[in-house]
Amino acid sequence: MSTSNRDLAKEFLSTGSGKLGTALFIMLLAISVFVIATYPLDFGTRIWSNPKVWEDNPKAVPPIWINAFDDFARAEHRVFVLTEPSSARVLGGGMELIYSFGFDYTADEFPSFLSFTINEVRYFQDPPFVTLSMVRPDNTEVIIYRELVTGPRQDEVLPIIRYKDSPKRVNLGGASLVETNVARFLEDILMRDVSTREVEGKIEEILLGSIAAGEQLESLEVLKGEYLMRVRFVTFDQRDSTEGVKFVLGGSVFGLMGTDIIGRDLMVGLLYGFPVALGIGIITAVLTTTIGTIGGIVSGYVGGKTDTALQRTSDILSNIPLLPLLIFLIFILGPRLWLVVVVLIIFGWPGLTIIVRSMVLQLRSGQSVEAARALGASRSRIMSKHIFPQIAPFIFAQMVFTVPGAILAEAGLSFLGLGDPSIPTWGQLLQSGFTSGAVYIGLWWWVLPPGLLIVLTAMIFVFLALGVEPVINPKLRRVA
Amino acid sequence: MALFEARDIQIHYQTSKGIVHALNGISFDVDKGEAFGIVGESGSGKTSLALGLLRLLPKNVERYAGSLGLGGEDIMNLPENEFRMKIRWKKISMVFQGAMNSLNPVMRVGNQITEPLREGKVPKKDAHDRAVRMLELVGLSGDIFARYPHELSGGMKQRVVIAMALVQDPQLIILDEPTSALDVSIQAQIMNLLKRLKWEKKLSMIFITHDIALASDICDRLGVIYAGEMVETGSLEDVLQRPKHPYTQALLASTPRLHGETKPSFIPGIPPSLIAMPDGCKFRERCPYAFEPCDKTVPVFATSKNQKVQCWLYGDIHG
Amino acid sequence: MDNILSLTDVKVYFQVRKGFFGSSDIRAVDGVSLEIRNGETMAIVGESGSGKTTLGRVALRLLEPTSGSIVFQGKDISHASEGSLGWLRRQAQPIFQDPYSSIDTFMNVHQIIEEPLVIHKIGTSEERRETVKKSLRDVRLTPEDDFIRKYPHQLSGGQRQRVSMARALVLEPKFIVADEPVSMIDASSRAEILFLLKELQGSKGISFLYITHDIATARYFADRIAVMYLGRLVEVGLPRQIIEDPLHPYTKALIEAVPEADPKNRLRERKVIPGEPASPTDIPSGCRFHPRCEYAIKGKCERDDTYLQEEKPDHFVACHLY
Repeated sequence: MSTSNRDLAKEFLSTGSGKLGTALFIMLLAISVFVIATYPLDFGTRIWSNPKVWEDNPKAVPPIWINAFDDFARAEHRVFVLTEPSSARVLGGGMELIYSFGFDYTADEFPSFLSFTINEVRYFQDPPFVTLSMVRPDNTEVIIYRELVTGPRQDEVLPIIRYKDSPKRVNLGGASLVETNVARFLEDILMRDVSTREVEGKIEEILLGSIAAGEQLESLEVLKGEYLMRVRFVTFDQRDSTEGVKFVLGGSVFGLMGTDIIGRDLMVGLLYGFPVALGIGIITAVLTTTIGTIGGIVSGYVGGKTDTALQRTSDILSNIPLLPLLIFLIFILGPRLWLVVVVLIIFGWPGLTIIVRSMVLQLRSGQSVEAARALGASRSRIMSKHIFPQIAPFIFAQMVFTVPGAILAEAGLSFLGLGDPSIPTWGQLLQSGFTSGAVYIGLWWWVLPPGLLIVLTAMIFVFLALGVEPVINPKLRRVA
Repeated sequence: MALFEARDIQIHYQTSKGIVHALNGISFDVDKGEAFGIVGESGSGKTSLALGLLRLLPKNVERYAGSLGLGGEDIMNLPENEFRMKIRWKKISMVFQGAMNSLNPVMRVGNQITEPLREGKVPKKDAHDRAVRMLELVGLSGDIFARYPHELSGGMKQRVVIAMALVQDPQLIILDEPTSALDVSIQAQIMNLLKRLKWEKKLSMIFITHDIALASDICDRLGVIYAGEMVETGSLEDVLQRPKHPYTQALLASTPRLHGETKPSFIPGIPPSLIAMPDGCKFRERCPYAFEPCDKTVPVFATSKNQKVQCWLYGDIHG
Repeated sequence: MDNILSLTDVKVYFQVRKGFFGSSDIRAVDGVSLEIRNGETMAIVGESGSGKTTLGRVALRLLEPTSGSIVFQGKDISHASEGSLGWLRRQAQPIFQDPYSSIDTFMNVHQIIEEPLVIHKIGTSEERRETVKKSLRDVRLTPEDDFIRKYPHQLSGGQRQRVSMARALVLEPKFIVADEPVSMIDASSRAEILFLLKELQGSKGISFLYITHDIATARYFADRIAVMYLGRLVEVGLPRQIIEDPLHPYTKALIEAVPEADPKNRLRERKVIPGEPASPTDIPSGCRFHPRCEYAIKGKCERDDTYLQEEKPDHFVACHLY
């Protein structure tokens, strides 16, 4: 029969399942709380779905830690941001600002890309002139990039501001200016003519490659050693300034969980998925269970027309096909996460109602309910204080059981493309992985983790449910 | 020599709250053709005794000890499959408490009677005939064989249950509250049936009940059980008319009577916990005669050839 | 007004579907007239199928009678709506048979006994606490502070039944229907509960309708006994009359069937009423007991129905023999 709540909790925690489930659940909660506290609210739209944020990440690369499994030294992803010039001197009417930095390149392979970004430039007369050059370990020097900041337009008010909202980013590997400069650099070394077509697509290899006379450009080796980079700003007015520059050596590995095809840090996305999964699972489970329980109790106890109405509603809802309806709604309202949750709730509650109703039908004729009626208790009092507590443990177990179902349902729907692509749930990650062909290319770090997390989270709730079961069903309790 | 002898039976259960000492050394005999009544309140251990005799105890039994002899042979130490094949439902069978409500609702009543026979590979026709004979023996017509339990009244179901217990001609039948859910008039019918079976077939019985008046309707000898101990045994006359143990006296005095002038009294207090057992006499807290030696374990004293009492009032105080 | 409850030709029929189209009546109570005086205990003795439980429920208006009238404290409550019966609930309460299912297992003793006060908005939280403690004292569950916090599973059957009684008494009703209050309690504890009920009746002036199948307890507790068979009262009288001088053949057989602690019983069979009680769906014609009656008068008893007649002072019987 019923024991005090503390005894029930003790009973629950005495099973291995209960202990494991609770411990893991607390971990899930902790991670989710951390994410909620540190991520901005509009993370999905402002950051995740915004390609500019991920511009400078390598695309579709595995996590850093795969380096531990073999001896191959992969190209590290390195970002250099300089806001203050290393030296500045007056030159003519303006200034010469030099931003310089160096790095020691030790990888066995070339960077996946090289990028150079100029942030916000302000000038008063003529646009400044920017040069990017590199001194290699073999003491050769390459002038990689040279450009004038975009000129003033008619009627523009001073100071002229460029690259403020959209910094000027140059992917060195694809810029024709760079190709020309690199070709010229090669001509000096190889002592022959080099056309830009020859250097197309090989910029990174040439810039960081070991080149000697007669070298074939097809199979260059990495030139390891100290590199020195220099950005030279020449301005024509001493008031001119810039917010700084950024230089990125694209790695072939990135982050704790790698990146996807747009370069999004999958760790960030996966973490975001924790509170989303928990939230979806718990909200759906709580609301479905609540509505289903209330419906079942009212249906079973009040009977009559109310019962018939609720039962027929239940029947209708159970028979409407979920997927086509969802597709239709998404077509009209657009893909929204809350839409998925609402649909899951609306179609989830009828199942519970039927079970609760039959339990209540039995309890209704019990003597304690009759005694309550004889005392003059109102119907609502009897339903809430005499009938509900008798089924409460069962309802609680149901709620726990429903959570993994909701998580899996959302993951499945997202996978089918019916979810909200702007919010990175695990199901969404799977979906984008599959549609990008990650499975076929072998980008395991993209599809395995979200799949595993879905399964593990569902299992945590199954453990919890298994721990709760003996509590509600005394026959399953262990003896002593 | 008695047909059935039980000596020092102990049954303890393991529960999450501790060890429940359901029975702490029960001894009694049953002669052939005799009905021995075991009278006790709920929680006294009488149902544990019934289950224990047929080795039907639940999994959490922690101790089951003592000696049991049937027809002079030890049955306590028989290996399980021998017990199942030779004793259970063959030499000793049982009518459980509330059995009539535990009949299989989707099986015809006759098939439930023949079930043990068919397990023993008795041919179908022979089993059928025997079942019909059993039904007639318990006062039902043979065509009840084909009925389902829900088609029968309470009294008829109880007769079926008795037929089931008798189908393999046992020497001893244990009945645990066989009439508790029945109306008074039906109860009288069933008791008449049991009396007839006892006289005509010389059936030996152990009749377990909380109602001492009911037990006196059929039993030749009585044992009174309290908190896991048999506090008094004796012939029916001795126990009813000259009860020795204070509990027996109080039990008799508290039963409302139909005739006679005395108003029933009652025993204040409740039986002791079977987990944290007090020392000495278990009835001490509620006994009007409790005195100095009662906190020491009470031995069983024989006050006459056939009457035994477990009470310091009748013993050698210094012994 | 001398009678607290007056039942006049009350009938309670339940409809049951038979086959596809038909329905038949279960005539649980088939014409019962009864008066219970203030401060009196009236016992209804009967077996299963007699309708006594249904009678008890209709007396409290937990069921509506199919016909007939129920007058409680001078007011006709036969067909009053549920909402208008709030006053009745404070005056009339039941005590049920099963101490294990008549109180909620998830509430503690305090909550169980306090509930009627909460429903009827009586007293402040402090006052209610005191009332609950007093009612525990009334039913001898002391020390009260110990019991207040306990849950039903920590109590014995007898103690639970006393909690049930305390709950029924806390509204200070004038009328209690006790439906087999001791039949699920050990024989040795029954007297205690009945003694308590009798004491409470004396100190608070409560009238009882005591429903039972056990005539021995009825003898101890009741001022008058009514014997019920298949929806009708067949005999009504003082306990002494019913037990020492039963008139109706059914009453005689019931008395005969009760086991007494007498060593001679085991040497002889009892006289029993043959057959099973008829079902309330299929009531025999004429006197409804005639198929099982050894004194049945051929022709008359299966044709003509019987009604209660006063055969001796205060002793009524419904039988053609008289």
